[in-house]
Amino acid sequence: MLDLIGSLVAQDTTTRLIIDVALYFGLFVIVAMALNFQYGNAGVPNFGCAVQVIVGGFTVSAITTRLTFALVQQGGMVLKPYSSDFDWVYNNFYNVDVIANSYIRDKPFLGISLLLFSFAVALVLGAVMGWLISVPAIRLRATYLMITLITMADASQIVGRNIVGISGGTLGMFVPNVFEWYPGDRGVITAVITLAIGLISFFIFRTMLNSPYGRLMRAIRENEITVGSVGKNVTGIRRNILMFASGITALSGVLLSFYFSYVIEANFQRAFWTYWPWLMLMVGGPGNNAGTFLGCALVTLMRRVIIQYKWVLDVYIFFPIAYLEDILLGTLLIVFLIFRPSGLIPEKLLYIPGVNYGKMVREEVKVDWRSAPKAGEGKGKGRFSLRRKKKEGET
Amino acid sequence: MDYDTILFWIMIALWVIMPTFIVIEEIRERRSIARDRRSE
Amino acid sequence: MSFIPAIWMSAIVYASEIAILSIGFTLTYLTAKIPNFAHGTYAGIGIYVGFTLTKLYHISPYVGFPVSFVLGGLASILIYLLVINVLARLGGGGIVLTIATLAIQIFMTAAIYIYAYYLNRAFSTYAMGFMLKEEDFKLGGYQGIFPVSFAICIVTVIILHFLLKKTKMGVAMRATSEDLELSSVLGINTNRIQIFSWFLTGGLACLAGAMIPMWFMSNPSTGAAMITSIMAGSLLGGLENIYGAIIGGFGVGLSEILVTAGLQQTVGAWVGEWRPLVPMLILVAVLLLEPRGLNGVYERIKASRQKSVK
Repeated sequence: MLDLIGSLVAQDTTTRLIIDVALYFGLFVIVAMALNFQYGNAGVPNFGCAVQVIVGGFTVSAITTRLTFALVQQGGMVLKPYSSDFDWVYNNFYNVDVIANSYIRDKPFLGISLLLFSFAVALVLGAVMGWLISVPAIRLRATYLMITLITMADASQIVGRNIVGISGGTLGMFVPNVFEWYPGDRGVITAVITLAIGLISFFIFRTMLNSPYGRLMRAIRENEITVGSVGKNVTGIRRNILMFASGITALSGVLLSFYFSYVIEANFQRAFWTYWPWLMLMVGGPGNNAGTFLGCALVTLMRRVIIQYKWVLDVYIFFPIAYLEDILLGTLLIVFLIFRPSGLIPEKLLYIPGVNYGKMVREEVKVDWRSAPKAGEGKGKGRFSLRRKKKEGET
Repeated sequence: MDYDTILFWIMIALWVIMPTFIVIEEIRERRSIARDRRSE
Repeated sequence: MSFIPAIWMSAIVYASEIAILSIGFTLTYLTAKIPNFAHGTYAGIGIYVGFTLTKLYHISPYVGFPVSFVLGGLASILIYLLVINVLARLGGGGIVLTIATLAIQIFMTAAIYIYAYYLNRAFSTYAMGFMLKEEDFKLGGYQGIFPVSFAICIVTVIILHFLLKKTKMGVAMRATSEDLELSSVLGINTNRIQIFSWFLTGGLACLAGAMIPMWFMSNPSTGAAMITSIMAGSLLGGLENIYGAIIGGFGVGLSEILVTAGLQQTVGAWVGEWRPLVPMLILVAVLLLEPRGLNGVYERIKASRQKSVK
């Protein structure tokens, strides 16, 4: 019936375009929202988010693949040897495509559990990477932190490129297709799952931001000395935020790897996974969830449209389109910095249900936000939740 | 059963639901903030 | 025939270039209080100016050096006026300006790629990866660029020292970098000083860039890729100290090539791939251990010596 859809739209490739856009949109929603969480709310300018995504990709290529091979061997099928570096890459295609995929083909449960396993490990490793990132984030501020994080992202690419056992070095490697049991197109189901996870992560982040924990994060962003003097553990909170956001970002690395069924470190370039999410953040407005979403939508649409209509543009522009994308990235970033630094959607005051700031200042108000009717329950996450505190004119 | 088509339309549905939800929530929040402001 | 092994020559040429670039980077930090991520890309401009002059107009690359300097300075002024000045006037803080320099870097790297592509198409020269080594002269068996680069480095240091300490313009530059508002109150035309500083840093970076293809293979992203080494060099010497930048830049350049070569001989040839990691490790180590670099170490020693005297 896909041809019916194909005949409804102009070309069959448009379906592929839609799936592609959906996938990249989902991925960038995850990354950009996590970035928004870190910068817009905790004030950590994380220019190394490429490294968080890479961790997810490497999880799939290094750990999940090996696990699959072990399971397959237990299941009785014979694999070609893969312990040495050369064999790892050389036999990779045979091992994955012929053996592992046919093993997964009739076991949907195995496929799904491998996917969930990858998610779990990626979350954990992402959190570890977040912890590693938070080490310099404690002692360094602003621009020094940016330098360190960018360097970390580059270093992780080099590590991936040179250690063959992680992701096949310069050649890359195939990973088992966990959706082999699915009788249709692998891209569609991956795109659906990515969008679903993007949606879920959006709501998770939004809930965290609208809770008292979110207010704590904004307070840290605005004036961290005050918060520290009130007695909150500022570095601990920052570390928690980074670990949490890193874990979620790693999920997008996992999904990307499964979409291509192929991992190579050149897929995780700095410009792609760091600068474009930052542009989305700037376009939508930092610190603002809906703004980030809008930024993702606009930027992804623009990029895919450029790629799709390459042949139209080729008449006017004589150079390859990839350079045009970079120029647009730089130009738009500067334009938005100059003309619209708060983004398209201005940041609104934090809304905690049940708290009426005006009344609070003027009179003694007993606030019980649990009885409020609207907009999301707050869930105090982490050890530093303010859930039990009553607000009586206290910041 | 043609799973592909089903998933395809689920994807389109998600694509429509997500922004709608977000827009509705945002408008609701901003309206209640404005209402709080006006009641000062 | 040559007494100095090729690896040392290579290291000294590279280190001189990094040193000049680090000085420029530190100058930018002193002037604008931001790390200029686009600094390495100015070197990229220098590379391609040299290429254009040599391959298209058949001028010796050495004549191209002053041309690169001027062109780089002008490009730098243009970028300053269009982007950084505007953002600073609008009240952007350090982070916003740094993001702007990142955007400039992306933009300029793409522009250099486009230019190289255009050269490829229009003049059928291969501009995507080239080396200008054969255009060089020989000085007693050594390739000309080897003493020239080192000499340019030393001359730059001497001229800068003289400029900053003795001339009025130099003193004004130092005053502006210390305290912008106070200097303008004292009657210094801070706008002109800033333009001059940006001209100087852009020109220096392009000059260093023009020297690169004489020894090393270059492509449009060579300049941008050096930014890690440049930052490591500046940070090692202390981000606010020009003389530290020279030592730091030279040190980072030397260690990047020599340490890699040494490890390659002892451990194995695979170490060569990890070469970009050397300046990164230096950078991270400096930032975590002593953020003020060698300058900070020097001040600490001085302070402790004062304490022991008392």
